[in-house]
Formats: sequence, C-alpha cells, structure tokens
Amino acid sequence: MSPPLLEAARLNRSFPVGGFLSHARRKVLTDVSFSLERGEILALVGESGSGKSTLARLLARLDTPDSGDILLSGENVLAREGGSASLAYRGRVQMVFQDPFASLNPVHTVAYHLERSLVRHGRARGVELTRKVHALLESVGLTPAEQLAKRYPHELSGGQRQRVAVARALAVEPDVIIADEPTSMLDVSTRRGVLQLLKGLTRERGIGILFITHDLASARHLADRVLVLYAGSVVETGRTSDVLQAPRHPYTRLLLSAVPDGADFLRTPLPARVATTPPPPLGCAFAPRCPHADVRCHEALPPFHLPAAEHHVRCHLESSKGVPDDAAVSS
Amino acid sequence: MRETLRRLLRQRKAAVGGTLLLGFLLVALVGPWFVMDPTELMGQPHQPPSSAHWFGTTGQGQDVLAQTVVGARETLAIGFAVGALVTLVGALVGITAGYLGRRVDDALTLTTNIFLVIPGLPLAIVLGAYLPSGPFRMVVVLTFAGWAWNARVFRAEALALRGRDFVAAAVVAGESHARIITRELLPNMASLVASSFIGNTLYAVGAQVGLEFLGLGDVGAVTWGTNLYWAGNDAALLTRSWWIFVPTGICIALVGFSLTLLSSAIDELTNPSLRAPPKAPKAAVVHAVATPAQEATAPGALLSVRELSIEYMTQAGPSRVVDQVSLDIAPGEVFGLAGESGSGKSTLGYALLRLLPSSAAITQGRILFEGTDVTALSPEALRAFRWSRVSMVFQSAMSALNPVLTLGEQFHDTLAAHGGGSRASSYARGRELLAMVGLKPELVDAWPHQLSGGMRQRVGIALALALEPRLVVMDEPTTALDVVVQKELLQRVLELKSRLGFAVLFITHDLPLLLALSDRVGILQAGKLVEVDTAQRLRTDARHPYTRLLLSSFPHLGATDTQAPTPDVLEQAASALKAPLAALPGGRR
Ligand SMILES: Nc1ncnc2c1ncn2[C@@H]1O[C@H](COP(=O)(O)OP(=O)(O)O)[C@@H](O)[C@H]1O
Ligand code: SF4
Ligand SMILES: [Mg+2]
Repeated sequence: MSPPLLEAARLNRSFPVGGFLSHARRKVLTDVSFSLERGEILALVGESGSGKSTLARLLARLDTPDSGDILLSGENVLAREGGSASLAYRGRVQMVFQDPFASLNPVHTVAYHLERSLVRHGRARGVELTRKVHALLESVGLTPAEQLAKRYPHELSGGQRQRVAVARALAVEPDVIIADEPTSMLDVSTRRGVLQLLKGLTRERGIGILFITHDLASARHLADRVLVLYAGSVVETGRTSDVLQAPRHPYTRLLLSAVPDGADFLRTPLPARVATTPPPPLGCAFAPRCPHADVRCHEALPPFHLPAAEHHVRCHLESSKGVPDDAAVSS
Repeated sequence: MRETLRRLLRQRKAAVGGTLLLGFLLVALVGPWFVMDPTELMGQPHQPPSSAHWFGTTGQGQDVLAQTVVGARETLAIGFAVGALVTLVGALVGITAGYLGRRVDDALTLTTNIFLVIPGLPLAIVLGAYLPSGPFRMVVVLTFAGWAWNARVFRAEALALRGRDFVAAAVVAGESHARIITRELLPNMASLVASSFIGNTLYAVGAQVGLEFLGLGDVGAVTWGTNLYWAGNDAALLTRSWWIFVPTGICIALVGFSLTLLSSAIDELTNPSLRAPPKAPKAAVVHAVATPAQEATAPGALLSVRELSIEYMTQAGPSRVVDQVSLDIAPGEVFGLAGESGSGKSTLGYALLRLLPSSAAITQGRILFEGTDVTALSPEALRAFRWSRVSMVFQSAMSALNPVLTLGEQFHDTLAAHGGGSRASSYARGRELLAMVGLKPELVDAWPHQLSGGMRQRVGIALALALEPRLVVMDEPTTALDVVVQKELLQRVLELKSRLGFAVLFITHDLPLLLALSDRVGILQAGKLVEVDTAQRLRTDARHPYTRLLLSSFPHLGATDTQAPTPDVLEQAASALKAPLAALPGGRR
C-alpha cells in the first residue's frame, strides 16, 4: 500500500504568552494527526481560535511545529529540511489564503503573480509564459484572460481575486492545496463558484485539498472526510456522511445544532453550556461545557474510539460504549 | 503609478514645492556658467549691490551672486546624495531587520539603537578627520550620522507588512528572502521611501550648512555653508554688510520650504484622512411625491420608510446607495434586511437613527417613526429621539464600547445623557441590564477588553436596551462570532423581544439565518429593495430572481437528509420559544 499523499503526525504547537522574560506558553495544537489522500477533500472544521489557521501555516511551512512530523508521500520533510521548506516542497504543497484582498500584492499585476510562480518552479519560461498565464486564468474561469492578466488586484472583485489566488497555487502544479477559509470573505453569490472550482480540481487533477472552514454546510457539500478540531485537538474525524449525519462527539453535535439552517434552528436549545473558562489542561478539553461530563472526563484524556470504519471519536462516552447512543445525547 | 504622479501634480502644495525645487536645481546645474568666478577677487571688499555686482561683494571682494549660484551646486548635490544614501541604508537595514525578525532583528536593532543614542554628528566629525577633505567626506559623515533614525521607521513599516498575507503567499510560492524584500515589500513602501527621501534631503542640507558654518567642512569649497562661514569670518554682521549673508540665507530657507511642501503633499496623497473630505451632496430633500402623511404610513406601523434615497459623495461624484426604499415595521416585529456587501444595508440602518457619516445625505423620501418625520428632526429633538426610541447594535461591539471606561460608566453615560439619575442608580440599572442579557451583574466594573467577542455583543445589546427603545437596529451583530455563540445570542434577543416588545431591524448577509430569525424579510440589491415578504413565503416561493440566487447560494446542511443531525434535541424544542408574532402582510415591489 502506498503511503498517503500528506500526513501529519502528532503535531504540537504552542506560543509564548505573557511578556518579556515570561516562559509561559499557550498550547494551540495538541497531537494533531491526520492524513490526506490524492484527489480527496478533507474538511477541517472548528470554531475560531481552535487552531485551524495555525495548523494550515504548519502544513504550508510558514511556521514550524514544536514537535511532530509532516510526511509528504511518506517522506519525513521536517526531519530532512528543518525549519525552512525546500523549493521542491513548495512545488508540491500550496496554500490559498482566507482574505483575497490581502493575499495578492497590490503593486503587482495578476500576470506578475502567476508568472513568478511559473518561473520560480520552472513550469514555463520565455514565450511559453504568457500562454501559460492565460491558460491558468481560463482554467479558473477568468475570461477574457488577456485582459484580466493585465489588471491589478484592486481592479478585481473578491471572487475574481480568490480565483487568481487559486490560479497562482495551480501554477506550480501542486499535489496538495491548503485552503484556509477560502470563501468566508466572499459574498454568498460568488462563494459557490469558488467551491465548485476547488471540487473540480480534485476530480480532474487528483489534487488533495485540506479545506478549512467554520461552515459545516459547505463542508458537507464539498468534503469527502471531516476533521473536527476543538481547542487544538482532534475530537472527531471520519467520512463526511458519518460525522455530519451521525455525529458522536458532543462538540460536533453542538456545532451542527448551531448551523443556521431551516426554520426551526433558533427554537432548538443548544446542547451545551456557555463557555466561561478556558479549556482545562487535564482531561477532556470540552468537559466544562459538556452536558454529559462526568468524573472521568475531568481526570483523563479520552482515547480515540472507532464507532465505525474510519470514524474516530475522542470521548469517554463513546469509548466506554456501555452507554447507549440516545442516552448519550439527551441531557 | 502614472495616476499617482498625476494626482501629485494636481496638488497645489506639490506644484509650488516642486517648481521651486526645480528652479533651484536648474540654477545649480547651469547657473555657474553664467556668473563670475566665485573665488576670484573681482572688486572692492564689502561693496553693497551695484550694477557691476548685483548682490554686492564679500568681505574680501568676491562676487556674492556668483558664490550663491555656485554654492547651490555642491550644497544640493550633497543634500540629495545624502538624502538618497540615508534612505537606502536605512530602508535596507530596517526592512531586513523587520522582515527577517528574531536574531537578525535583535542584532540590527541593537546597532540602530546604539547609533541613535551616541551623539552621531560629533563622532562622525571625529572619524571624518581620517578621510580626505572634500564633498565625499561630508556625504560619508552625514550618512553615518543619519541612517539610524530611518532604519527604525522602515523596520516598523516592515513589521506591519510582514504579517500581511501577500508576504506569506510569496513565501509559499517559493520566493527568496532577497526578492521578497526588494519586490514585495519595498514597492509597497513607495510613499514612505519618497517622503523619507525628501525628509532626509532636508536634514542633509540643514546639517551640512550647520557644519560648514562652524568651519567643520571644507572651507576652500564654495557652498552655502561656507558662504555663511566666510561671512561670519569677514565680520559681515559687524560691518552691517547684510548682502553677504541674506541671499544665501533666503536660498536655504526656500529650499527647506519647498522640501517641506513636497513631503506634506506626499503625506496627504498617501493618507487620505489628511485630505479635506468631499462635500456631501446638497440635501435637497424632495419630500416624496406630495402624499399626505396618513396615506404614507401603513396603519399600525411603528416605522414607515417612504421612497428613501441616500447618496454618498465620492471622488467620482455622487453615488446613490439607497434607492427609493419603502418599508414598514410593525411594533414587536423582527424585520430582516438581507443583501450582499455594498448593497446599502448598513447605510439604510444608520439613516434610521440619522447616524450617517458627513459624506452621505438623504436626498429623497422620509422616515416616519410613530408619525414623526425623523428626517426633519431638529438637533435637540434628534438627540432625545436617538437611543430612547430607536437604538442600535453594531457589527463591531468594540467600536461601540469605549475602551477606557468600565461598563458601568458607559451605562451611566447613556442613561445620564437622557436625563437619568445618579451614578448609583445607573450602576444598578447596568447590573439589571447585564443580567438581562445573560451576563454576570458584577461585570459592571469590567473593562471592554476583558470580555470575549460574544460577551461584548451582549453588552452592546444591553446598552441598546437601556432606554427601552421601541426599535433596535442590529447591523450584522453576529457576523464576527462563531455559530454557537451566534445562536446563543440570537436566542437571547428573541426571548428579550417577546418579553419587552421592541421591534428589530436585523441586517445581515446571511439569508438562512435571517429567514429563521425574522417575521418578514426584505432583499436589498444595489440599493433597491427587490422583494419583501414573510420569511415563510420567501423560503418556499421567492419571486425575484436575485432572491432565488441568494437562496440557492447557501448550501444546506440536511436538505436531503432523512436523518436529522440531533433528533432528540429537536424534540425538546417544542416549548422553547413563543411562536413569532403575526407578521404584517408582505408587500412586493
Ligand atoms: N503567532 C501567534 N502568537 C500567539 N498566539 C497565536 C499565534 N498564532 C495563533 N495564536 C493563537 O492560537 C489560537 C488559534 O489560532 P488560529 O490557528 O488562528 O485559530 P483558527 O484559525 O481556528 O481561528 C488563537 O487563540 C490565537 O490567538
Ligand atoms: S469526554 Fe466527557 S466531557 Fe469530553 S466530550 Fe465526552 S462526555 Fe463530554
Ligand atoms: Mg483562521
């Protein structure tokens, strides 16, 4: 069996808090592991501050984890390259940022952005260059390409800019694209097009996409698998249909119950307490909010449990399995 | 780039400063060929201006005009050379430090700071003694003494730009550090480079003249500084030979003046807030086609907006962002206003409280609140009306809360402005209001920065409800919040609404949310209200194509699911909240 396209193994990241001379650190990611296959879309969901962007930056090698490994086609890249990524890694793993108004340099044209990626990775040069730029723009649905190539970012709409950002990532012909909330800054009427574009890429070119979002509805429509992050830890992961239609972790259920969908969504109470304290260092991070928390939850980190094939849940209720499913949900 | 240049030229400051400076450059360049030899003794010493020597002669008999004109050449050459060098060195050191960060930054910043605290000029002069005398020495000395300050400015700018996504995107694209500094960061600092260069040239001319006047330059050269040095040596003041130093003095002042004008022009160009704002369009309030008031107001409506148009004055002329909007809100109703960014939602919301920025004006129509025309209220009447009848919750609670006041003080401010009582009673009411929105009453003593985003929005709602208004305008109050926090907040709003009976105008781009929350929903497209109907009917049979487009843009979580995500929770829902108020009949326009 061939190794997964991209694999994260027990990634940890903490940041210093407090001022000068303070050694305190805050843990932002704890033992995050997952894998991404060729042609697959993996959705990473979680509330803001749960560590989604931090994880994206680690995988895009804009930041280095405190510990843990990143494997690209089975090869441990951190062990070999250390802190700064090789050009070869950049040529295989690309990123699309959240805010298309910030990710393009206002002083350069659309063509410049694409040409640089093409040249830097030796994908085209000379007379080829312009033709390739136009082909890229057309492939993300930006026509007429000749005209758009000459524009500056401020002369484009948000949706067009995000397409340019996708085209720039595609220019290096990557195997993996990390998309950090690529549609959250866009108007709703342009969102769908960008999502469709990403989906097409995985199908046509076999690119693996890590799709970061806080919008469960788009995750449902786009992703093959879902990874739920809470306070820097993976709490549930599995096939989209399993995780979003038969959620096992109380936090996943909470998230789903808060999605504004349907006439009644405001009439159903939230199955959790309001967050008042930061996650505890010991035990389950969700325990202070969880309606089902018992003494075990405050004492020990629950192990992963597999209720179905490829479906992992990190909750004592699940792992003890003595409790029937419905009892687990009603408070 | 060309556009920037054109705007620069159109500016009066830039035009005057530029012309003046260009004049001096021309004189410095070609002038020396048209005047006498400035070092030769051409006439009697201390001669006042005459036809032979237009500016008179020096204490030794040289021509003052010749000295002034020839002096311009070296003075300006050194000035611009130092200006360019200081900017270049400062920018490279500063950007490298700011961009690379960590150890490189520590080392470079330490060096910079040392240069800033040591008295650079005297040190440079001492070191300069080892260099051959001449213009080159002056350039080295002034650059050595001046770069550090610039490095700090550029470092700060690089630190600000470094965190921007386009830099991260360039790293991911595989660009090298050197290329990121020169091609990504530096071009974004064009205005800083330009204004630093001008500022540094100003510094260089001043410092150079000062040093030479003190005799620390090359006294054999002809520059404005040495002119003054010799004037002093030759007792120009004692002999009242004003003509010896006045021309040079005026030249120095004019060069300084032109450089100052240029740098302020650049600042204004790049920082639009320094520019005078465009005038708002004339509020030629064309009171909507002479319809009598009783006809305009729907019976029983709390608020009636009639044919309201609002225009912003922009650089390109007036732009209409709200276009003949009419709508009614009944007492206790939740009216949702949906639209994409730029559709005019917030402008409409702000107009209801007459909180429009000065560049916007209501050009047509009226806003009738319980029969009073809000557009015609006097300033005092408006002050009494705002907040007590209609209040507002803003998208960013932080901008609505005063960061330097405790919550209790903010409640007191709001209550006292409307004839409230003592501080103690304000605090008591503040506690009550905080409890009402589900926060701990003790938080009256907290500062805004101690609260999370969701808590701040609750405080925003508590403040909006402080005077028991009949209508609360909520402008994307939950857009910045997570779905879970959003739902908590909205459930609280609905509960308070049914308890206190206020009406809500809820503005958001999130149509599914609005449909679940509102009794009636209006769809705004490019300033026009294209459809208004009950939430229920919009969900199933929207008529306008734009509404349908919006509706289809939101993916659903479980439209096709047979199994709902949390069936047991749904069961508990039955008694949770009161059924929504019977809505006004939805009009379509
Ligand atoms: N460079 C940093 N220094 C300190 N704290 C950081 C840094 N980057 C992220 N954090 C913190 O890490 C947490 C997770 O952030 P982030 O990864 O951006 O979450 P998300 O993308 O899920 O919203 C946040 O509390 C954030 O404040
Ligand atoms: S482990 Fe305990 S606290 Fe954590 S989610 Fe499961 S039941 Fe709740
Ligand atoms: Mg993020």
